[in-house]
Amino acid sequence: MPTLTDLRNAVDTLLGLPAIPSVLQLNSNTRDRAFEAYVFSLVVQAVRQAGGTAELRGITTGANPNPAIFRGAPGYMGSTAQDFCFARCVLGTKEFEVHVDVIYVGGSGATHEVDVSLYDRLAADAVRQTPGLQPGTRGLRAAFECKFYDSNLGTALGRAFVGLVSDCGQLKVKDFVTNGQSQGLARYFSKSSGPQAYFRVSPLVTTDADRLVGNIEQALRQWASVG
Amino acid sequence: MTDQEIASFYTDTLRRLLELGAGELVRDIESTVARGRLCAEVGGKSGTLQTPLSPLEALVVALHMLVAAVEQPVHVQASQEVLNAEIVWRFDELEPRQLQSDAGPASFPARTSSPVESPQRPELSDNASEALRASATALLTLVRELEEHGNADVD
Repeated sequence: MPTLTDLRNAVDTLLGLPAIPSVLQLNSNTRDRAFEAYVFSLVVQAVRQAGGTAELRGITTGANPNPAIFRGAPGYMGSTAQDFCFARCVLGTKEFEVHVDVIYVGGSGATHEVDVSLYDRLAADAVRQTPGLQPGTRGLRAAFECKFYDSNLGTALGRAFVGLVSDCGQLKVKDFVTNGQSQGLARYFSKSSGPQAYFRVSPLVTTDADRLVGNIEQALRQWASVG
Repeated sequence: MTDQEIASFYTDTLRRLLELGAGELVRDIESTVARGRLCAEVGGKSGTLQTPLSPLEALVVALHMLVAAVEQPVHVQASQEVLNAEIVWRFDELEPRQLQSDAGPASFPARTSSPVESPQRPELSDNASEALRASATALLTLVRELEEHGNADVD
């Protein structure tokens, strides 16, 4: 068990870094977006681990955009106002895309903002070719709720995500992902037959991130009938 | 570690964060710690009564939130390695809303600004980025060990 001196030294070292003042002054919305991009990259990693391919594409420039532009707020899949990026994936006979911060129209007609989503490629192509068309949830295969650890990590978030996925048809993967932890949320999701929850997902200590990637990989393998 | 030592360390850490300009983070930590745990989350009936956190639990919350707060460059770095591309954020011109938090506008550019403007984020050298990653990893590892041994799992 670490001592108080160990902790003090670790905090001293961290707060003593020259870069720390500028990093700490980022607000939580900014950090939220970075966490979503990280989860997006974990999904891409899972596709590749399953033996599939994942190519980064910009909506206006095509393959391998650099920089890769992510939305600063939820938006429309077909928007060409910026060269928003997504990942085009092939796994077995399945062709699909991974998107960040896209708005979908649920079965009820309500709109939902999905942090990270997997969507059928043909359906996505149709959306892009039809100005003003919003994607429905029929082609939606996976939804990830990404929650950066802040003061609002309570069970209400879990209930909201369960409500969202219940309006999104037959999802193959529905995961709540956070870099924090919450005993209440963990208990809530343990009673639910719906979404899976992943806590402590971080690139710093990757045990939990690796478990998330492995589980996504397995779900994708099963869906795509890949051995 | 006595409760008094832990409480003192907690207070000192928050003071230093304030000195570094992390007012929003300090407010988040304080509100989380003040919220305590709902009865329903400690095995009681649902309701609004709360159980205060112990000094150790409060410290664990604060240090977890500190690590999370400095993870942004690490998230970006990890994503860029997988995607093999630099990452930036921009607003959709069709998106009428501007990100807003209790503490004020987000650090991303408002949609009324140039659509090609880059988001505000720290530009860290490779060395600075690696140092931050190593320090944050060391602290997170210690906090997780403390949490496991101290049974300080909190909301």
